[in-house]
Amino acid sequence: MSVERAESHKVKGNTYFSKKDYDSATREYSEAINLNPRNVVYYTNRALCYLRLKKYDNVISDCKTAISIDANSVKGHYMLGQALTEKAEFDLAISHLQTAYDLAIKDKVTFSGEIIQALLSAKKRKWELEEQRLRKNESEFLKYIKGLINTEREKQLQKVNQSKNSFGSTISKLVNLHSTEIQDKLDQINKSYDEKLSQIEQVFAQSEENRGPKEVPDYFLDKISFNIMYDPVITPSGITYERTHLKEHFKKIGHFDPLSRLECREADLYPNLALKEAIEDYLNKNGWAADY
Amino acid sequence: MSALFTKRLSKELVDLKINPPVGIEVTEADTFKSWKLTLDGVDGTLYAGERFTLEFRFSPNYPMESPEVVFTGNIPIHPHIYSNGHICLNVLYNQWSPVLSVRSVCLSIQSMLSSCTCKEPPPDNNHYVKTAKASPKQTQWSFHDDSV
Repeated sequence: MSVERAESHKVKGNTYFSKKDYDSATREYSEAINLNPRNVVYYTNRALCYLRLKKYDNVISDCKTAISIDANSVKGHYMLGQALTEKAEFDLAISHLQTAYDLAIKDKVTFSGEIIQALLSAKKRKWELEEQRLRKNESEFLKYIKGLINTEREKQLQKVNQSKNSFGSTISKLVNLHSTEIQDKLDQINKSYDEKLSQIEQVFAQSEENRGPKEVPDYFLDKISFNIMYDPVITPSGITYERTHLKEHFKKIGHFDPLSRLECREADLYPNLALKEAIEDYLNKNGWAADY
Repeated sequence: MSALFTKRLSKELVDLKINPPVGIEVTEADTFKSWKLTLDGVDGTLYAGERFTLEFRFSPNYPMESPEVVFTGNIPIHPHIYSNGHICLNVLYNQWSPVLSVRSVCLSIQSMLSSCTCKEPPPDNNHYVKTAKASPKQTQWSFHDDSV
């Protein structure tokens, strides 16, 4: 009885959801949960409302409940990953999104492409945060080194000035004669330290540039979506594609390799593990490329 | 699917602007619904010195579905191009593949023009233009002649 009533609240919730009235939808799903707390769908539906409302703590708690009821809930892992990304818990987010993707491929879920997007964007945001920290550390370090160089410069300048003063006090009349020589010396010191400063600035600028966006090599990009690949698969023609987009192509267009046009089916595909490793390695060094 | 669609088209657009193929230029791409490109006739061919405009219309399923591609304005006279702008080219219809792109379609059309040896309209032009639907994708094309 209560199971049926729960279902009717879910149906109402879905109607509100399709009208984008997420607050009312949330209320209906909550009613459904009260009546039947063991149905995963009520939690994942409510989590999706919370996700739209940007209430990420609520998303996390509903998804955790969903996963505790059904550890294989694709939506549970997927939305948990998205909410954790928003909370800047990137490692945990990435691990849940990876689980979601693996389950989605096994279950032939239609939104595996979206999961990959969420995964890549979590990876990129993780990199951005680390990059920000690194940049701050580096700029502090650069300031410190420049400070050292300038202190050293002051010391050298002082030495020359002191020799001038002691010189000047003893034989004051000759000061003018030597002043140009001393000025030359001071200029030389300044020039040499200015050079040192500009060199060190160049080194730091170079290191920053090396980490920043460049062009992603074509062989890492899927020929269908033009995105960097996450789960590359190789066809009998030896051509590599992103699994989810190639499967979509089989479904919507036909069972052939999009490039060679030779017949090809899902069962003919092998994961391209070497390329996957190469891409992972590349992304570790070029985090910006994750969501390229 | 729509995330794939806009992201891919943005990348295609950047690539066309940064690294445009010879004689092909994007002139209008304010939305992801339709773009306009100009296509210049290649020197040394029957279309040298002429400039044509191609319109691409995309559905949210692109690239899992071919774009709708037609000439607008000045229509080239060619045995595979109807005077309403429809183009008889297999990759736009049953031979579409998601690895094809705006760039590759433009290059195919450019090469179709370049290899033409006699400027004349398709033999069934009048009949086709009278009966064709607005979208060339609704035409039942038969691709019999690969020599022109």
